[in-house]
Amino acid sequence: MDDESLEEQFKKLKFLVELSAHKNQNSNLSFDTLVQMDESDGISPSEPISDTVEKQLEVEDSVQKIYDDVLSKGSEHFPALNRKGHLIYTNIFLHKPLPSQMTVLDASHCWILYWLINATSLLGGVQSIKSDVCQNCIKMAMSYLYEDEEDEGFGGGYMQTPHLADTYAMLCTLAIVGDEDCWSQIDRKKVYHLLLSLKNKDGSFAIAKDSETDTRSVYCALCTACMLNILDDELKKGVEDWIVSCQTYEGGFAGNPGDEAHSGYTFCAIASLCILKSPARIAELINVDSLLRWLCHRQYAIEGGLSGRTNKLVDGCYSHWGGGTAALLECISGNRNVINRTALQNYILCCCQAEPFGLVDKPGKYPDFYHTNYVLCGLSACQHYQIYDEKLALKEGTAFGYRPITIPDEKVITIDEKNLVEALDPVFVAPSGSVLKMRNYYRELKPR
Amino acid sequence: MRTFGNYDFSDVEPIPLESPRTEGSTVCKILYSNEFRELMSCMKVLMMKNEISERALYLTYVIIHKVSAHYSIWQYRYHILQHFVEQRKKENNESVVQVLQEELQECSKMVLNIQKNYQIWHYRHLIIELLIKYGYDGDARKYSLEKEEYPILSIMLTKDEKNYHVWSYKRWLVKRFNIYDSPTELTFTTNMLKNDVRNNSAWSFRLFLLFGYDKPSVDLKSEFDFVKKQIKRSPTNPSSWNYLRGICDNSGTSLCKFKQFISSFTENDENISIPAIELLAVIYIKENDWEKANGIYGLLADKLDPIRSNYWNFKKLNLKID
Repeated sequence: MDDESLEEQFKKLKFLVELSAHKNQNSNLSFDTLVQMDESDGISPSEPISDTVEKQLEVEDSVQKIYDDVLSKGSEHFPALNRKGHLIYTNIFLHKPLPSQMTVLDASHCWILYWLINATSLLGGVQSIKSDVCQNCIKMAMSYLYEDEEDEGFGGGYMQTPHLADTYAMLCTLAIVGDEDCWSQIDRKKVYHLLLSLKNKDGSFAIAKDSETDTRSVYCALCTACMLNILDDELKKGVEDWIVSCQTYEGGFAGNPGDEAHSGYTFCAIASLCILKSPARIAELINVDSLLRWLCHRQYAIEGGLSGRTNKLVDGCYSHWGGGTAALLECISGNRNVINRTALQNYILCCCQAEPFGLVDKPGKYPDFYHTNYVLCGLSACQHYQIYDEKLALKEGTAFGYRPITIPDEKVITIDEKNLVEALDPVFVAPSGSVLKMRNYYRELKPR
Repeated sequence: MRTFGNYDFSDVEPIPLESPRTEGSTVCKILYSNEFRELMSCMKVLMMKNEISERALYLTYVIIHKVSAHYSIWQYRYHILQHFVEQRKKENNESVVQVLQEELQECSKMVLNIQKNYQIWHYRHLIIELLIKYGYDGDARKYSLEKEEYPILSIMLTKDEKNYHVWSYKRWLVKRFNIYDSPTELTFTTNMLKNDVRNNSAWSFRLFLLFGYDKPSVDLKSEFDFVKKQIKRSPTNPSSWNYLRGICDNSGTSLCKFKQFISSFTENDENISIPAIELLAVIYIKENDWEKANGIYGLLADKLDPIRSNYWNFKKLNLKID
């Protein structure tokens, strides 16, 4: 199938989606909060115009226009989650090949699979993914497994050397769509050897041979080891101290000690600590108050969405990196609501949905798989609390001690049935329960 | 005859780009152009054979230009260069320095087109280490930052002032070459902030320069003067306020020293600043004046900063616990 016919298909679908969208608009969700949000904490008029100021005002303006429009149309027209449309978007790519322009993603096959599968499960539930799709995904995933005499791990595509980000993404995908048959084909001894070979003296992990180290690579390493049930003292050695040293003077975490605080790296750092330690122990390791402060300052008054760093613009994907951190931080800090969930949900529903489908960074941007997945993850974080259940943690291990509940409190967030997405495993970022199931398969195997 | 550039690849038997086992599946398969298919197919064969050659090096160059995130091709390119350099060193060939300098220049050209990329910056680390080891006999001082680094970094940060990869790379350079004291670096951040006082990356880097290692000689007074000046330029700018807190924490200076300065941004509507109001609460807590701190958090939660009311109320609650 060539690109042109794919485009044709898009056009037809666009029509269908528009039709279905018309039937869908009768929510009064969060309308009142939108009225309150109409106030800035922003930039004083006397401040000289700089690049940051200019870009920020531009985004505030475009978002404000959207909110004004929503307000003028009345609460019954509040935008709903275009579930059908977004499912069409992910399903097209779960069934068709990718157009040639996507050659730039040739080293990112695993991420594409993970984003598509995870987004689809959030929208429709794991059971909604048809078995032929699952089988095809498993087949593709297993073809990315790369093995030599000593090491094994997933690479970014067929015959690409192992990379921990790809290994993480593929294990999550196989946790969702996989079965014991494919799980059993992974040589855990060799994956362990790979992880050990990538471990640095300071406790951190490089993401691949001769490649970079950051909190992201550390997160991928710890997730991989934990999911496969091969995380031992040797792998853990020094890593906790290294992660803690990435907390910056602003409160958030950087990719490396000394760098700037960033939501993406902060999520990786906190989720990594959650693999290693209980929330109560983490609270003793890091500066919780400065992290809380930094994180809630990622949310902007007019937009309601989150930014990734101080003085940077909102972006839908930080709904997850920040919102996901908030979910964990709520367990660590005891602060039940770290961010304003309603405002974030408003931003997602009003500003992050593209026509005819797909989710985006901010208004005017084109959808992609990455944003579609992480905006939906962010929506899920808005709609669920994560409860750290000591008993569960005792039984399954610290990383698996989190139990999601849909938030019942309308003062925190109003969740209309049609906007509700599935709950996530807050540490591994896959549908709740899926990773545990796979891990338990490995746990019950005899040690290798 | 099959050629790419000036090199002949006729002897290379093409292989498929997808596993034969995935036949029939379409998911995640890219409709590659024929050109890319041939290039990549050749590349994979050479990689499998671990061929160390000029033509292999050339092919990595072509593919990286098309797909800059191809980490395994970067790995292979590094592997080839490493071999070349070690070989030449053994032969006492003088050209080691030249080869690696050319590679760095090639990197600089490439990076102008691929700004947001994990691989290229790390690759640059690796090449610099090779150059120091084999070209300069381990003497890092022989590596000229003025010539090799500052021009390209300055261009990169003009194109995108907050590029995380570039700032992170700069941080690596400072540590690697132990130039925390470099006036060039400090002046660079001053100039960046002159252009945009909200450039948080520049603030963050500046703090790293001053406190990234145990340096006894920070001129605190001039640094406090600097940040106060920047705050006056933009009283609502969170970056400079965070920086003030940051250098207080790092130098063990009490915020209370700045009470008067901070208060001046809390009193009249003209230049009212939420970060200053918050800091005032922090100072009240240090002075054990819980009631006033409580009042401020209430004000922030209800009136001034309602988007963060959860946080301000949490602060309020914790006051009572304390």
